[in-house]
Formats: sequence, C-alpha cells, structure tokens
Amino acid sequence: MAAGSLQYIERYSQKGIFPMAHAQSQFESFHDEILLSFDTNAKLRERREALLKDLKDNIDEDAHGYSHFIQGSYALHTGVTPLPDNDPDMDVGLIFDCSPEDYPDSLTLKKIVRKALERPNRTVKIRRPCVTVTYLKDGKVTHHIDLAIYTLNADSQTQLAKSRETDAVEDRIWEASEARELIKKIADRFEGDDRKQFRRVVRALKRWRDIKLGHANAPSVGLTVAAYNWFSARYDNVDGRPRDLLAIRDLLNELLSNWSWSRLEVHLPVAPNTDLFEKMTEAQASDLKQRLKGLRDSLSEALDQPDTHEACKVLKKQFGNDFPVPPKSDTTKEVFAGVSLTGRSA
Amino acid sequence: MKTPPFWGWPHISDSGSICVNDKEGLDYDPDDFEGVLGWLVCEAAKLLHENQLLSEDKRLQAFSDELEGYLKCCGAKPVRCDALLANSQQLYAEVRTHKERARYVSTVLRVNTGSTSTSSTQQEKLGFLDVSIQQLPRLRTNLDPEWRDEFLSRLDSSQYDVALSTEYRGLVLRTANSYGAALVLVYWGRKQKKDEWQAHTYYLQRQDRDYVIQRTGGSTYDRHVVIAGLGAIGSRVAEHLALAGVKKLTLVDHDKFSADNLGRHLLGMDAIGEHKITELEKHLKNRIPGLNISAQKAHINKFLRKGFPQGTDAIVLTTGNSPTERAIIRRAYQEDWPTLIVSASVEAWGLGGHAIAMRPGSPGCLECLYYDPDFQNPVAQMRTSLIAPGQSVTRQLTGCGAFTPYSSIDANRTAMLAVERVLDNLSGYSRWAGKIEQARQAGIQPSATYRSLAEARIPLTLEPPDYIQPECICCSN
Repeated sequence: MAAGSLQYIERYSQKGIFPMAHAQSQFESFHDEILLSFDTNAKLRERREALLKDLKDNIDEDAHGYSHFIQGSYALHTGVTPLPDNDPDMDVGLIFDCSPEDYPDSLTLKKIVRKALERPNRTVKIRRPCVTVTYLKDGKVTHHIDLAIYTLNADSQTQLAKSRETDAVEDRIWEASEARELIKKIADRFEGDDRKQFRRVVRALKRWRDIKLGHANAPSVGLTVAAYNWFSARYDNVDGRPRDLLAIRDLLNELLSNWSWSRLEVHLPVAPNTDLFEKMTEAQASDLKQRLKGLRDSLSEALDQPDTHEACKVLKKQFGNDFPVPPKSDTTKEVFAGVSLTGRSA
Repeated sequence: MKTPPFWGWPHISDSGSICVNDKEGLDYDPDDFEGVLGWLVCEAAKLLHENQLLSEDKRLQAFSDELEGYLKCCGAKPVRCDALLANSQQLYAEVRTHKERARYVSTVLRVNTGSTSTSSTQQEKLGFLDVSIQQLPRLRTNLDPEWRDEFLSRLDSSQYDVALSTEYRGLVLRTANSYGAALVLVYWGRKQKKDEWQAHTYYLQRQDRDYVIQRTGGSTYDRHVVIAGLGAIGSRVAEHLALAGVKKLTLVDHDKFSADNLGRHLLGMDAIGEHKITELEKHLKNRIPGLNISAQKAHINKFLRKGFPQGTDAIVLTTGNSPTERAIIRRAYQEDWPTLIVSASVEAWGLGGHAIAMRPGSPGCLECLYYDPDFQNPVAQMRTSLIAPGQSVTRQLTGCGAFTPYSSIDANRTAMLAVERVLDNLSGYSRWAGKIEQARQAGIQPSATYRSLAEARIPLTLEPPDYIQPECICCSN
C-alpha cells in the first residue's frame, strides 16, 4: 500500500471514520468496455443472419423444417468481448420439427446441417454437443458459431443431438437439454436494478476467468449459474446506487462457502441438470478455489482503500487492463461542485 | 321507592347506576342481548364484591379517581379552566348573570387566574383549597347549609379560614387522586345568610397544557425550538411540536400568506394577506393553551445575524432553500452552536422527503450528502436526491411565479420526520419515498436512491456513521 494511503487511513481512523472505495463508476465503465451484446452489435447479427441464410438456401429439401434461437451468453445477456487471442463465438440453437424417433442416430441430422454449410472460407466440424462453423480470413480464424441441434420429444421437451463421427452408433444419442428454459429462468431470476447488477457481476467474473483461468474446464455458464444460485444485489445504504464490488465479494464468499469437499458443484437448474464443473480435475478445482480466494481478498483490499485510485489499481490486477484507474485524487485541490437543479422545497 | 343516594363507591353513580366499563374498548355481537346482559350482571356483581372487600379509606381513594365523573352523572355543569392551578395564585370565576322569573341567576363559565376570555361576565374571587376525599361530604348539584356545616366541620383551622373568608364567592377544591387531582368548584355567589346558604357544584374542565398533553399519553418537553421557514412543512412542524408538548417555539419567517398557499399550508383563507408567523402564532395559541410562542418577522439570516440564539435546544430549517440552510449549518459547525439542527425538505411530485438532524461538533451533517464518497469531491446535487439529476421540476400556472408541485400530505409526511428528530433529540437522517405515478405523468425520472427506497432495498433511516464523509468541508474538522 502506498505511503500516502497509509497516512490517509491513519488520519481518519483517529476520528473513528473508515472511508471505503467502492469504485462503482469504474465498475460501470469496465462493464461498458467488456460488454458484448447481441442487441447492440450489428456484426454479430450479420454473422448470424448470413449463417441462417446459408442454411436455409442449402439444406437438403427432404430435411424437416426448423426454427432457431440464440442461446449461450448472448441470450443470457452475459456476453463479454473476447481477449485479443480468443476468437469470438456465438451459440445458435436449431429446433427441427421432428422427434428423436425420426433420427434414431442423432448424427444423421448433424450431417445434414454440416452439408448445408460447408464452404471454402470456413470449416464445419461436428463436435459432440454441436456443429461448429469456423470462419477464416486469409487463413486465420475470425470467429466461430456453434449450432446446437434439437428435436422435440412427445412432451415438447428439447432433445439435444449428442454425437460425433467417432462415436459408436449406440453413443449417438438425444439428450434432454432445456436451453430455452435456462434462458428464461436466468432472465426471470432478478428484476430491474438487481438484474442489471447481476449481469454486470457475471460479465466481470467472466472477464476475470478469461484472464486468470482461460476456458479450460471452467465454463462461463458455470459462473453464470453459480451467480444464479448465490448472487444477491448490493446497494449503497445512503444513495441507493449499486455496489458491484460488494456484490462480487459477497458472491465469492457464497461460492467458497458452498465448496463441497474438494470441488464446487454447480448444477444446471434445467434438464439435463448436470454439474457444470464436473470435468474439472481436483487439481483444477483447487486452483480455481485459490484464485477465487485471491479475487475475494483483492476485492476486500480494494474496499479498504480510502482512495479510489489505489482501489482501482488493485482491481485492475484482477480484471485486466480494461478496468479503468482514475487519476489520483488531490484533496488539497480546490474543487467546485457547480450548480444543480433541485426538485426540493419546503 | 327511591334509592338513597350513593357516595364514595367507585364506579357507582349517586343514583346507583353501576359502570362496569366505559364505551371504549368493548366489542360484542350487537344481536346477542342475552350474552351481553349476562356479562353485564356478572361484571356488576364482581365490581360490587371487589369494592365491598376494600377498606373504607381505600374505597374512597379509588372513588376520588372518578369524582369528576360522579359529578357529571349528578348533572353538575362543566367550567372551563385553562390555567395551571396553584395555591399561590388568586383565582377568579367568570360569572354571567341573567334574570329568570324575577330572580337573578348567576352561572360560572370559566375559572381563570386574572384575565377573562368571555364577554358580558364579571370576575368574582374564588378560594382554593386542597382537601382529601375524606373531608368531602357527599356532593350533589345543589348544596345546602347542612352540607356546608358538615364540610366546615371536617376542615382544619387553616382550611376553615379560607372556606369562611368573606372575600370569596366560591371555593375550588382540589382532591388528590392517582391521576393527579380532581377539581371541583363550589360556588355560592353573593353573600348569604348562614341558614339560607345555597351553592352549586361544578366540575372543572381542565384545558391547561399539561392536562391536554397528558390526555395524549405523552409528556411535555421543556425545550425551546426555533423554526425557520413557515411554509407547508414548517407550519406543520410548528403545530406538531406544539401538540407534542414542546414548551417554547420561536417562529422565523418574513413571508405573507397568499391564496397560492391554500392547497398545502396549515393556514386558511382568513390568513390571506397576513404574515404567516402572526397567523400561525394565533392559530397555535388557540390550539394549545399555555404555549410559549414567539413570532419573529424576519428572514432567517437576519434573525441569526447576532449569532446563535441562546437557550435554543433545536433549530428546524424548513426554508426550501438549500444554499441558505447549508450556509447556516456550516456556520453552526464553525461556531460550535450547542443545539440540534434539523433540515427538512420535500421532493416534487410526491416522490418523497428528507429530514436530517445534526449536532455541531459531531460528524455527519447535511453537507456530507453533497460529497461523492468514492472521490471525496463535492457534488452539485444532494447524492440522495430522489429525482435524477438535470431535470427541472418547477411548474407555472399563471405565467409567472414558478412553484414546486407537492401536496399537503407530502409536506405533512416530511414534517413528521423533522418532528420525530426534534423530539428524539438525536442526529440522523430520515427519508420517505412515495409513489411514482405523478412523477411519471410529469415525465420526471426518479434517481437510483428513489428506486432503492421504493423497492425497500435500503433503509429509510440512517445513523451518522452511514453517511459521514471524511473530507466534508462542514463537519470533518
């Protein structure tokens, strides 16, 4: 901690005052910087429309009809701009007007989709949960779109095609997967300002994950569902403005207190209700826990700073260079507040 | 056969009626005659039995609590009494005399300590005696020489002298009871021959400040409160403080009351064109007897020119002018005024109101709300404002004279917050948040503070540690 800060703290603690830096404006600026929204990003929309047009124009005439929906982080309003080395992705769900019984081998339908989309400037690869279309420019990957292929069973429950070409026939299955229900559940979990803060907090955590962990085995939807389970909105008791720093710190405390044995279990609140962190090894889980503790401690350290500049320096180390650090405040400088219109009277 | 008159039994009137309960606090099926009658008989029997078990002295003492009620049942008339009675004061009866069937009949209208308030009356001196319930023979509406003899025989020598003094036309008898005392007036009027002596009994209907406040379940506050700004909020603060039993109020304002104020001010049409403070002084004096009230026709800055008004326990700022109030508060902190200061304001369109109480010398003041807590920089708008920044809320109806739209209820709710702060005599910040509809119709955006308050995410009441700003220009040093 800087010597100036220590003097500052000493000065006020003698008076019994313990100022705290919440850096709310910086959290909001950070959020604006990392936000990647389907609604506001024309490029994302163009890519989706182009892909769907391709599919419509080229899909086998004998294939069943289908509808589409956006799934994943854009649908959940938790999308973040990728780091420079990561290509942006998008998740689209295709629900075919047929039942799993029409395609006992789920790979058949995925192959139909692949065939419709293959072009020279892209690769189309069937992976077990989806069909991935990777776009190339000058031989370099620009972005990719994951297409999840669904049918509907007799109960109108969406069934996901889980299969790849190397799978044995009996492993090419349809699995209950309620992606649309998940979107609705998460959207409806909070309202108004609570919901806005929830989305900011999830985006901040996802960016932190991208920087500190990478994507391996800690899926972003895992963090989103963890927040769905344990997030509580936090506000300043005086002016009612959101306090994202407190909300993230308290969420981390909840996450850490819910660690069972050597790992964290976060189950999808819809079918197939799988544990989203199940693929983590014990070592990875332990690493995640340590990093989450580190983040929690940094947030507490930032909160204890009497100066927002110092607090933001601490936060930048965790959230990366997109987290703004304001100039150091000069308390000896004369500052004029200006004039405001007031709606108050007596 | 006529029942002999009863005297000295609690809850039993002279005619023998038994009161098992007053009208308040009872609930029953209005069609259940049998059940109610059964209950009534049981309760009456129980009450008689309980009274019978008491010693005579204890029974009389319990009866003294109801002496005034007993007299009412007898048919005794009430007499107004708005003065606090004491042995040292000379009492007078305000008496009106009229002719009735060739006889002059005198009626006492009021007991006072020297000044009359009724017309066409004359002042007649009264004696004042503290007597025990045991010294009182059975009272009834009209008293005769036999009663007088019996009464005089029960008095000690000093009481006897007062009772027989020729300068008095009656006696106020004060009988101690568990509520304080019962007050009875025995008035005989003109001098009479001993064997023709006749008197009438009155019960005193007390209207003094202590009694009126006691009836509210509260107690009086021996405090002096200055209220600056007697608009819609300030006038109500004044009234509520007076009704709550605050001993002294100083009202400071220089505005005249206009018809534009009618929609939300305490005063009415009679006050149009008059200074608010003079009309309020009249109103409050009429409202609470014995209130010590001072009206200062001046702007608050002029009133405070000479510094802290000595002897003031609290200053309520309800001027509607934030810069003025902030300047006064800064000065109070600089000069370390030994008083509680409360600043109260209402927000437009029913969004809510604020009352913040502070004490110079202690951190946590109105100015703290004008700081960005993250950067400790002053900000132009109070950070807890209920309206989002940059919106004009004033309106005009006549082409000139902009006003802030808020209702009488809004003013009253805000005034209550200020009053509670004064009576609690504690620093702190209270606010309320109303409904959004009016503001929405007016196209006004509420602030984050309003949304958080309206959705009960943050508390309505805060203690100073919640909002102290270490760099506050006013309270940090």
